[in-house]
Amino acid sequence: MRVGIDVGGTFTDLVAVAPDGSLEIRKVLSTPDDPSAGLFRSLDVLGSDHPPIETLIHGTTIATNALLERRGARTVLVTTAGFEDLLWLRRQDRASLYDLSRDHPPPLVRRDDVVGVTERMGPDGAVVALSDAEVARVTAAVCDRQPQAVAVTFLFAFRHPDHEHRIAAALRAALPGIPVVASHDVVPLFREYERCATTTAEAYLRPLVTEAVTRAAAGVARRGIGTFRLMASGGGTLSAEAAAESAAALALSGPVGGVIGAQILGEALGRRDLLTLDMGGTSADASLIQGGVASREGATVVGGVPLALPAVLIETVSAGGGSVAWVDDAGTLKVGPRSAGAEPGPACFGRGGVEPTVTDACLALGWLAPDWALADAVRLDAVAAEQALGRLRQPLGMDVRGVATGVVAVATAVMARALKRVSVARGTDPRGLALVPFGGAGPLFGCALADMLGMRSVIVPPHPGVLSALGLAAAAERLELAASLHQRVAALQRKSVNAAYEKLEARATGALPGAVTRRLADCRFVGQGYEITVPLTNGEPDSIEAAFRAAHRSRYGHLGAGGAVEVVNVRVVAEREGGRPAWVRRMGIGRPTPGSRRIAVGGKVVRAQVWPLGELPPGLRISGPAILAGPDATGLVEPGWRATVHASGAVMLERA
Amino acid sequence: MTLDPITREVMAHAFAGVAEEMGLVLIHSAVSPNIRERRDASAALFDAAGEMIAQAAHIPVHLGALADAVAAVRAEEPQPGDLYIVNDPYTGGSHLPDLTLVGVIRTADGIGGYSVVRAHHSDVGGATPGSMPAGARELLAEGLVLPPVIYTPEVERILLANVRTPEVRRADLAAQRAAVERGAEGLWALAARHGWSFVQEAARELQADAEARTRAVLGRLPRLTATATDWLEGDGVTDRDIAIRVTVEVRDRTFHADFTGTAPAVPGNVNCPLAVTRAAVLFVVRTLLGEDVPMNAGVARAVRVSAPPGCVVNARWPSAVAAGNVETSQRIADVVFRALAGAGLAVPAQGQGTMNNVTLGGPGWTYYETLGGGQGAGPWGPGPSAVHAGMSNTRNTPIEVLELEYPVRVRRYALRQGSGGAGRWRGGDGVVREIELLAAAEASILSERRRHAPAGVGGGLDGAVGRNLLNGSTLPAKTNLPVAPGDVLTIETPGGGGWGESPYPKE
Repeated sequence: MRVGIDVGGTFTDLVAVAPDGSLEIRKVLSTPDDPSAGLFRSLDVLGSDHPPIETLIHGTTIATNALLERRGARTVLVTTAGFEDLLWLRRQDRASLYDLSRDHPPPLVRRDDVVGVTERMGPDGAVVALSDAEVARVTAAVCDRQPQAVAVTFLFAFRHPDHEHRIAAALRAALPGIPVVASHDVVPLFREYERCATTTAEAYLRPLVTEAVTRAAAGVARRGIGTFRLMASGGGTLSAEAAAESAAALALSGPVGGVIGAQILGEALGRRDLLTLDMGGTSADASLIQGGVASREGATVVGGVPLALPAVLIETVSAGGGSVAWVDDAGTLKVGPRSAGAEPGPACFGRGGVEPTVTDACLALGWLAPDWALADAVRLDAVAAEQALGRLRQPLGMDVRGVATGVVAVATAVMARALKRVSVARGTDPRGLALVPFGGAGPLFGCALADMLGMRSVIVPPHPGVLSALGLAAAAERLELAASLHQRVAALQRKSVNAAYEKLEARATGALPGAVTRRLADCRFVGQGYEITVPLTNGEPDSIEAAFRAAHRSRYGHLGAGGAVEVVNVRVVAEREGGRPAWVRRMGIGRPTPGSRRIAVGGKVVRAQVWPLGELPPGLRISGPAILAGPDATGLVEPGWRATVHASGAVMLERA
Repeated sequence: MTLDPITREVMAHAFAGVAEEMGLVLIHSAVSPNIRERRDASAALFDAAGEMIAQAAHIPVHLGALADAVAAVRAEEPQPGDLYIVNDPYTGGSHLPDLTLVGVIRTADGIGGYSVVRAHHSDVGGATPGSMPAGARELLAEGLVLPPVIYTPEVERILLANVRTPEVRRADLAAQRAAVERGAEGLWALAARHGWSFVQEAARELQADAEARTRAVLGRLPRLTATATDWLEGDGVTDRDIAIRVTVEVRDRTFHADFTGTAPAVPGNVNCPLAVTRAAVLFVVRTLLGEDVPMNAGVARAVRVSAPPGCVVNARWPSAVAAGNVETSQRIADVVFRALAGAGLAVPAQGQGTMNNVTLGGPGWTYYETLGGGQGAGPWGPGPSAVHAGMSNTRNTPIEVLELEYPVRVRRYALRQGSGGAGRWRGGDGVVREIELLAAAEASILSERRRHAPAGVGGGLDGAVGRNLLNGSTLPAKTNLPVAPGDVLTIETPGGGGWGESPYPKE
């Protein structure tokens, strides 16, 4: 069977998909000091009474956290002389437009650890040659600094990599065992600052990631698991060896699993156009799936470091279950960005938190039940929640229920903005999409978010709290390869373009035997600075222009000045199917009897049915107001919404 | 109707989201490096009364100034669905390269608001490529002047016939127009959900809320009256210092800035219309507020700006203005900060106080960019290095973009070590950009703080003055000159002032 393990900030989730498609689910507390300990504990909790595990796919936050906490390797940056300050110059915009006390986070390397090299490439090739004597001098200067990792970024190496090649080869020979990372290998794209920052991040993360991944892989192998892979930011999976060479590609490893989980669920339901919202403890991540494919192209910045690597489009906002509610000077209610985190957590966790959070508001409104058990038997304390919310009663001039109603409304508005950034801001009308809210608290906000975006359809997954782990378990193995082309469409030679694609396809199927490949092209109007990636509809280069024009019109509403179209990169995606969950209910034949409790929605107290989310029979119809109480998550069917249970156990909500 | 605090916050996010979308459409589909890489542009939504609802946070100098463009269009009695274009500094514009499109948003029975996008186009005709000529003596030498007119195909033809790079302009304008349309669509979508009257009411309440919050902050300041003077270093025609004098008063929870005592308008192009002056004062006030105060018309209502007609900061037609928007605006912000520092407020030391405008152009190409420098240190810590301080926040042009698109080679791009003023906290360092020409071109430089250094505060030392060099020889702060292949133009930007006495004794 296939197993997905998602290590989050608070919980480590495991989902196992058996050969018959049935699921096993486990949830344990994370072990922030040693993430692999949580990984193995979840496997221990799974026990041994199951079919052998063939494949384990892991979503990890190790790269993300190393960037946020600046815990990477001591890295030396080798760059073109005269441009040693690139990482400090950034793009010259300031950290905040109006708050003049703010500055950018410092770069990942110390200024003393930058070595300038006398060499220079221009757009057409070498302008200043790289001499052997200079290679020797630079090698000695780098060795003197005793680095743990080395990054090499020369100007125009995305087009002319020879100098980077030579320096990197000399450094590798002189520093055995020390990773030496060249920019043309990591990100062969123009814009020197972003390329340099990404290359530096790769070097900075590599020792740490290599160590962690190797340790995890060894442990996995000891348990007799055949294949171990890691989720990458772009939605592809990497072997442990490949991940050790693409450490920066793990920066979004964590949140991507959920997007894939939603995509796979959508396939089972015949819904190919989805907005997804993963609501965690400190933040919410929004993403977009169109035509059954997760959008890719999001620009990623983690810990102030821009990463110019393929990434699933993810917009993050600071609104999660643990986000703290507060009242500003002018009496306006705010939620986040500060979070109570896992420790002390929301006041209702009873672990010392006193500030009101979104989870406290959900409990006070009756959306969560005090007897609902989080993992490892944390129980919710309603009195503590009301006390915490009571702190805002006086500044807002409202009762506790009014405060709680306000907190969830503001959190909803913040999350809606993330959903808009991945839809309307990209020219996609959300009204034609279905919203898939997940994470432990996400389904409580599905109806309200859909209403804000004018959407009429919400899908609550069968296991919303572990959808990320499920996505990992079922993820296809995916490899994405690109090569720069920089040619106008009108000048494309069918033969040579096909040859470029065939070369990528050969590499891709070599790495993933049996994979299905697709051809894509990154295009723009000549002169533009950003590309749109379009599929070759018939696999041939002559389909590129029409596909690009249609995509440009749909996204930006215009066709520029009717200029020429150029293909910047050719791109091949290879995919090999993963194990699909059967989405069949294993239990719960017969109709469960709903409970009932009083909840507050939109400021009114109503009596809501309470249905067990994990045990609903297919075809069951539910009218709002209703609570969907599952073992790993809770959902809310608001008044005015009607739900039908799908054969998979997913609950399909429609605006009545 | 009074919105509860929650609905108010929800609508603030909704309006801000529309403005963000407008900005993204422009940046991702424009072609000129100045717009797509440097983001020298702003997008905003206005209500039916011409009051700003939300602005994408791009560039401070466009802040209050977009309201003047909308007012100028409204004076033309526009019809629903009209699209206007304007760049005339004396009827709603700032300086000529800033082309502003104003979309009049249609409702079932009238005007629902205005969708506005301003972008700096790196050529609009005039005496020199790039339309940022040093020493121009009248507006007409700086480029084509467009009063607020309906943007018809004929107007576009006239415009494109008067610029040096018509294909680039045409493509940028198409992107700009699409951004305006996206703004209208965004407001329609909100109205479809809530109704137009609710949208208008929400906008009014958000403005009232921002005004109340601004006044609350002003009300907490000590009652103060303070005067300060700072100088511009010549107008590009002569080198003589030009005084900018302000008297700031905070009373009745209102911020008053009066520029009586400022020099009369000068022959060169450091003059600016009052719209730019207001934007600079508004920027200073905005830095005193919390990050979360929405930026809309309400903030401006708590700010009163006056200046004698015909002075440098309230110029009249046909005074030339190209550098007013980019340089004089910086000095206005500086002098207002200086007045506040004199009155004992905790404000930062002076930053680089210039945008270091460099324009190069030859047959078929024009390149414009502004360079970051040091920001002043403050009581909270050191000043950031290599950023735009004050009225700009544009990005740099990546070296690889520059060299792919223009016949130039960058020989050095570095921090200007030690240029920030010492103190308890150091001012930020400026930058050095060394550009070698690979083809003959016309160069224009408009810069400041080449003579009067950015001042430190409270014992902090001044930042270093900037320098412009051609092949190692110093150039004036403002100059036009022909450059030949092999020439090397070096711009060293000023450091920021230090804050407080240095704990280390002088060496």
